[in-house]
This record gives sequence, structure tokens and C-alpha cells, in this order.
Amino acid sequence: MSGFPIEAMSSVAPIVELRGITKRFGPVEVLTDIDLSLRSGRVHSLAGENGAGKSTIVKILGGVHRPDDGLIFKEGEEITIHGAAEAQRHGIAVIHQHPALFPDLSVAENIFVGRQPRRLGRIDWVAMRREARELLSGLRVDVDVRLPVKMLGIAERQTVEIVKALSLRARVLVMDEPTSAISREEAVRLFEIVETLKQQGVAILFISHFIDEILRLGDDVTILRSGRRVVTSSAAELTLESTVRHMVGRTPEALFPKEAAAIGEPVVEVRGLAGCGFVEDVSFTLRAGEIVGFFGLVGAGRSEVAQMLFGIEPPDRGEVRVDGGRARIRSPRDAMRLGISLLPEDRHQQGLVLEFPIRANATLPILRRFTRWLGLVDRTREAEIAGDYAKRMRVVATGIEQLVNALSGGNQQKVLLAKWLMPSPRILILDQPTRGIDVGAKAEIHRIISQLAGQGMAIVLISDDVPDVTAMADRILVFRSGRIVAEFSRATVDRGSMVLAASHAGPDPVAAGPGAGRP
Amino acid sequence: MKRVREYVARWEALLLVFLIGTFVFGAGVSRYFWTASNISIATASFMPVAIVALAMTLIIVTGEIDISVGSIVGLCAACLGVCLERGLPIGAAMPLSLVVGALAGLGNGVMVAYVGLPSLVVTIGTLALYRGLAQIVLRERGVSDFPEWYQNIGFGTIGGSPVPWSSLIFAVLAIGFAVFLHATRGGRALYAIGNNREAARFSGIAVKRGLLGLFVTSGVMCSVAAIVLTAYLASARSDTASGLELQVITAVVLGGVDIFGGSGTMVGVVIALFVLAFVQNSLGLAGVTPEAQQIATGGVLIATLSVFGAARFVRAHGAARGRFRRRRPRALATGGRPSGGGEESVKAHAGRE
Ligand SMILES: Nc1ncnc2c1ncn2[C@@H]1O[C@H](COP(=O)(O)OP(=O)(O)OP(=O)(O)O)[C@@H](O)[C@H]1O
Ligand SMILES: [Mg+2]
Repeated sequence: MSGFPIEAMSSVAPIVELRGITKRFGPVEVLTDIDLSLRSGRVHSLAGENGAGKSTIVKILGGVHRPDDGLIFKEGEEITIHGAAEAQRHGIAVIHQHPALFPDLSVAENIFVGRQPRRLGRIDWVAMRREARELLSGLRVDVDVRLPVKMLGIAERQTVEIVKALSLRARVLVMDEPTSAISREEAVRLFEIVETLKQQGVAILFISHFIDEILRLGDDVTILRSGRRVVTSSAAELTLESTVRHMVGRTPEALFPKEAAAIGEPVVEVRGLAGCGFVEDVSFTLRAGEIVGFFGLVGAGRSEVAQMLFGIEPPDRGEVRVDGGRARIRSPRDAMRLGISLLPEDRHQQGLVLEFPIRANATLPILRRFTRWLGLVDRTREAEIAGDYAKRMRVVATGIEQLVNALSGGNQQKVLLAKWLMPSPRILILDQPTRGIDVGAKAEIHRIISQLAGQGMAIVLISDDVPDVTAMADRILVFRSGRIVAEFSRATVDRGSMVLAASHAGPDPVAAGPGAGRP
Repeated sequence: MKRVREYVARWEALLLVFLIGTFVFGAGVSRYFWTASNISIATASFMPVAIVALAMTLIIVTGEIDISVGSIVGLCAACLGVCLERGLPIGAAMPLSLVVGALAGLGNGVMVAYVGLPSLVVTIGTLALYRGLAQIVLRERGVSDFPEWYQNIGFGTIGGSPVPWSSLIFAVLAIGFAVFLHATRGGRALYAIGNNREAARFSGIAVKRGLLGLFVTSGVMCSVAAIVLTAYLASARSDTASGLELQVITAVVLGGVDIFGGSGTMVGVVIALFVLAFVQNSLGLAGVTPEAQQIATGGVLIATLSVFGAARFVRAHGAARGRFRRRRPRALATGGRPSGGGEESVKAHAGRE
């Protein structure tokens, strides 16, 4: 299977090595005969489409799953990994996409949880904080170790997890899509940390759907397709093109260019919206057929505006008009009646019922349509329509009865998209719709969004992904600290000034004047 | 999915085996066990618990609980008694007691859904409150001159058969509740609420209204149970049905409903009800005191919770993680759940709406 002999890549002996790993879930083989070496001071990137088996490899290394076949070696000795505690003992640390920290404990406590330094039988807070500070500054990270973790952004939480792993003397660091939920600017910080770790001799496994990251960060790259290793090579020998070709098995589709859509009447008019504690004076107009991008750093207030429009959070002030009439949106039901759909940013917490099958998840908002007398659900029609949408979104699954928590992350995201397209909204708010989605599926989602706009749907696209926003949006509103601080049209947008406006280095939002951002 | 299905089938099949085991045990204890009249009495005496358990199943599926059910039954029984004392015909007293039950449930529901207090705490409070009201209304008196036809609701049998009237009421209600839970939009919404309340809300489900409706339903079922129980005992007292909640919750949990919400089936609960009914009946026949029976019931509850707890532990590869996920405060809601095994903690029974 492999295109290049592994041994030729590096003479350093691997710290951890997988040989011939096979993993089945029931009759479905999700990994077939996987070889993978993680070497000291090197980053091994793992690429593949949604459902290719990347996270399954991560879970095998983290002791969550046991392989059905194949061997794991640590420094030449065969080992087994049963459970997270054993992985830790073998010096393997796994950073999941959603950091697993205790939200109410401080940064220092999280780093040392369960093994706090003690003096005279009591926790030595001073020593704990000092050690935590030292560890963080070793990575040149500046975080107040006394803050509770829930006050930190996702990027900072990831850093805390990395520090925690280091303090456990991890020699292998596994990162499953660490950059999918953070901005590209924050990702740059993460890469600096990775660089430091490499110098300290840590072996790193890195997963991402951003091909440029795969190639830039990785020393070695392994590409999976349908659970098989297609290629392992040094990053220098791969190009963006060839990587994608290996991933999808054919020449990649170009990123879908947005088709010009006729922009019609204003559908949504928002005036002076304020709420959620920090969102102030947000005003914009959204027209039929128009895609408006919301850009900004994590925590800039974009999701809060979306949630106020969808009736999740009641706004403190401001007016929302839909089709010219004043709209009173007090619950998601009200919003759905006005034809609004919101694809929320957190698919596990807000988006999906993980214990439900694909079918029941997808139809949850529109179950009313399949009910007959007494509220009985017409299961046949429900299954039919859910099946249609799952196919359209190219969800990879054993069928629509597969539980959503047994789907790969990207396929969960596709189910979420299907769920919110099903109500046939006229106003579609997409909060990070391509998070965790592979290149091919991303192009497909862009195509769908563009098509919907062409049919006259009014679309809000919230994304941290600059190419996402610049490729799709007709207009871009930049948010910072709960306000709109800048507006760009498709013609005038340039990446640099967009990012500058969003960052704290840009002009102060208040100084920018109340007129800023008004359409 | 298939594995989960099999697991569910296994639990319900296991309950059936328990039921048969109970029959064998009962027959061993006493020759009288296998007589039509004993089966009939055992069934009739358990119907109040069974009726309350139907609504309790829905409540526990959403991850809430109602501890005050026994007291609501008592309050409704007291209401029936007082009405009778004042010379109101029982035909008018019954609707009145239904209203009282609904109001008691409304009180619970408002506190849980709209004030946002934990249902465990609210209903522990109303457990005392409603029982207290019953005692104020009826004091130490017992009212017992109920008309013959009314007593038949609890004790009489249909025609010449040994089938009690109350079991017919239960059967109709049970079918209604099962259809609601497993085949309607409302039932689907309850599972969604029990598994992920926030996602349910984001999906346009009116969570608060749903919970309010459930507690009112529970109150109404308590008052139906009060009517059946008063008829069965042929007397109404303020301490009627005290301790009922233990039996109800035991039956629901034994039936395979996850005490944390999100999964379980009505079929399981119905089988579990019969298991408990006949276990208690045979213990009674064996001469075991009611106090010892109560110990046995408590034991069953703890044992079942331990079995399911252990199963969850094994599935989740670590209890701490699962617990953390459930108890996680809202603050992290936008930051993603702490993961690590979250994706594969497949919950049995789920999705079997
Ligand atoms: N617990 C499970 N039971 C059954 N199938 C599973 C389970 N976990 C994962 N799978 C299946 O295994 C395949 C590989 O999943 P995996 O999560 O490893 O993909 P991935 O490469 O990480 O994808 P993504 O980029 O979307 O995160 C998928 O088809 C998924 O449906
Ligand atoms: Mg994955």
C-alpha cells in the first residue's frame, strides 16, 4: 500500500510505533493494516477525509479503543494500551478537539489535578502556582494560572492541556484537529509551541483538515483513505495538490467559487441590537440572495448575535424586522416560524443529540411535518426524507439508523447541516458550518450554500476561516468586543485589513464611531 | 445500533425471566399463590403504584424526578374523603380530586420549569407540603362510607372474570402512555430533553412547557391512583399512600429507565411493575412483614441502580468522565464538552422512541 518505505525517512528510532493495526466496529472495518511511527523531535501529520479513520487511530493510542489486530511498540518493546491511565503511563498524551478540563478549577489546579504539590499534608498553593507558571513560561505562554479554566478561550485551554501533558512527562503528544475550533492567528501560536516541543524531543501526531497546516507543520505525512494508509512520505515531497489527490483518490475539485446571485429585498433588518452582557449597537441588513459573513476572533460576539436572532437569548435592546414587519422572537419556535434556521457552533452541546440515530437528529426541528392525528410520527416518511438529506450531504454511515455518536466528527457536522436545511429556511444562519469538515466536503458545502443563495435565501455565515468568508460572502462584517467595527464588500476585502480590524490591534470599537459597520 | 437494540432486548427479556422466576418462587411459597383470586388481588393492590409509575416514567426519561407522588395521592384521597363527609356525591368528588392533583402537579412544574429549581429538591419540599395539607384537611379521621359501585373501581372484577376493574383502567392508560412515548412527536421530544436539553432547545422544542405539562400529568395520574386506591381500601385517610414514591421509582428504574434520563421503554416498566407486584405478594404470603418488604424494595432499587451504574462505567471506560459530562456547568457550553471517550459512550436504549 505504502508509496514510500518508512525507514528511509528518518534514522531516528521511533518512540511509539503502530504495526499492522486493524480495527472493526461490528462488521465494519474502519482501519486496515495501519503502520505509523512517531519519532522524537518530529511531527507526523495525519490527513484523510471525514471518516477515514484518523480519530480511531488517536483513540487507539489514547487507550480508548483496542485494536482487533496488529501491534503497538514503545521503543521496540511491544505494549498494550488499556485505558487512558495506561496511555499516560506510557508517556502518551492525547489532546482532543474539545479540551477535557475542569471548568471551575483554576489553570494551576487543572494542570496538577490529582497530584497537587503538598506541604504538611495540605495543598501547597504557592508551589503549585509557581510550577504552573514555570511550565507555561517554558512555552512562552502568558496566562494567569489563578483564572478558572472556563474564563479561557479554546486556544488557551488547549495550551493548558499541552502543559498538563508535559508536566506528566509525555513523550508523545497526539493532537486531534487542534486547529479546527480556533482562529488561524491562534493556530500560529500553537505552532510555535509545537516547535518548542520538537526541540525538547517530543514526538507529535498532528491531525488537521487544513492541508497547508499538514504540510507546513509535519515532518512526515501519512494519508489515510477509507481506513487504509495510502501514503507515508516526508512533507517536502508532497504538494497541496498531491496530498488532496491521495486523500480523495482523484483530482480535487477546485474550491467552489460563489455564483453570482440576484440580491433582492431586505429580509432581515437589525437595529441597535444589544444583549448577552457585551453585545452593543449591532445593526445590519440582510437581503434575499445575499451572503453576509461575520468575521472576528473567538468571543467577538458573533454567535451571541446569531443566538439572539434565533430566540435563544433575549436581547436587552434593539429591533429586529423581518420582511419589514417588527419581529418578536422569544423562542427558537418563533424564529423557525419566521423561516430562520440556526446551525449552532457547538455540535455536541447545542447541535446534536448524540444518543439519537441520524434520522431522529435530522428531523428533530421539523417532526411536526411528519405527524398525523394524535401527534403520531409517520416513520416511513421521516426515514425517507432523512435518507434523502443524508445522501445529499454525503454522510458516510452504515445507514440513517446509525447513532450519531458513532459517526466521525465531520460526518456529524454534515448531519447537523442536513438538520437545519430541512426546514427550508428563508433565513439561514450558519455558525462555523465547515468546522472539522474535509476539503472535498467543504467544497460541497460551499456549493450548497451558493445554490441556496441563488434561490433567494438570505444567509449569515459566521466563520473563523478567512478563505471561507472571503470566497462566499457578498459583504463581510467584522466583529470585535461585541460590536461591528468594520465592513467590507467582496470587491474591497483583503485578508490583512480584515484580520487587523478583528484583532485588538485595530482601532478601538468605540472610537470607530457609531456609524461604523452600518450598511 | 444493533448492539444497543440487542442490549435492550436482553434487559426486557431478563425482566421476563425475573417475572417467571417470581411466579415459580410464589408457587413454592404458597399453594394459594396460583389461584385466580390471589393473582387478582395482587394485581388490584398494585394498580395505584402502576398508574403513578406511567407518568413517572416520562418524568425520569427527561432526567427529572417527582418524589412528591405519594403525598399528592394522599392529598387527593383526603379531598375525596372531605367531599364525602360534606355530603358531596362521589361522582362530583372525583373530578374535584383530579383538579386538586393537577394543581399539585402544576405547583411542582412551575417551580421546576419556570423558577428553575432542581426537581429533586422541589418535590422533596412538596412531599412534606402536600402531606401536610392532607393532614390539615382530614386530621386523624378516616372516611369510609363510600358507595358500593365506587368501591368496585378498586376491588371489583369485570363480570364474572377475575380481572379487576382497576387493571382495565391501568391497561388503557398504559397503552396511551406507551404510544405517546414511543410513537409521537411529544415522546421524541422527551428523549431529546433527557439526552441533551440544550440541543432540544436549539431544535425548537418548548422544554419548559413540556416539563410543566409532565408534572401536571403526574399530578393527574396521582389523583387517578388516589381514586383507585381509596376505592380499594374503602377508606380515605391523610396517610394514604405514604411511601408510594419508593415503589414507583423502584419499578421505573427496574424497568430499565436511566435514572439520569434519556432512555428506557414503557414495556420494560410495565414488566417491572408486575415483577414487583408479585414479589411483594409472595413475600406477603410467606409471612414477611410489610417493613421487611419495604427493605426488600429499597434493596431492589439500590441493586438495579448499581447494575446500571456498573454497565455505564464499563461502557464509558471511566466513571469520572461520564459524571463530569453530565454535571458540567453551562459556562462551557460554547467551548465544547470535555471530550475523550465522549463520542463512544453509547447509551443503551437511546433512540428507541
Ligand atoms: N463507536 C463506533 N461505532 C461504530 N462505528 C464507528 C465508531 N466510531 C467510529 N466509527 C466509524 O469509524 C469510521 C472512522 O471514524 P473516525 O472518527 O476515525 O474518522 P476521522 O478520520 O477522524 O474523521 P473526521 O475527519 O470526520 O473526524 C467512521 O466511518 C465512523 O462512522
Ligand atoms: Mg476525527
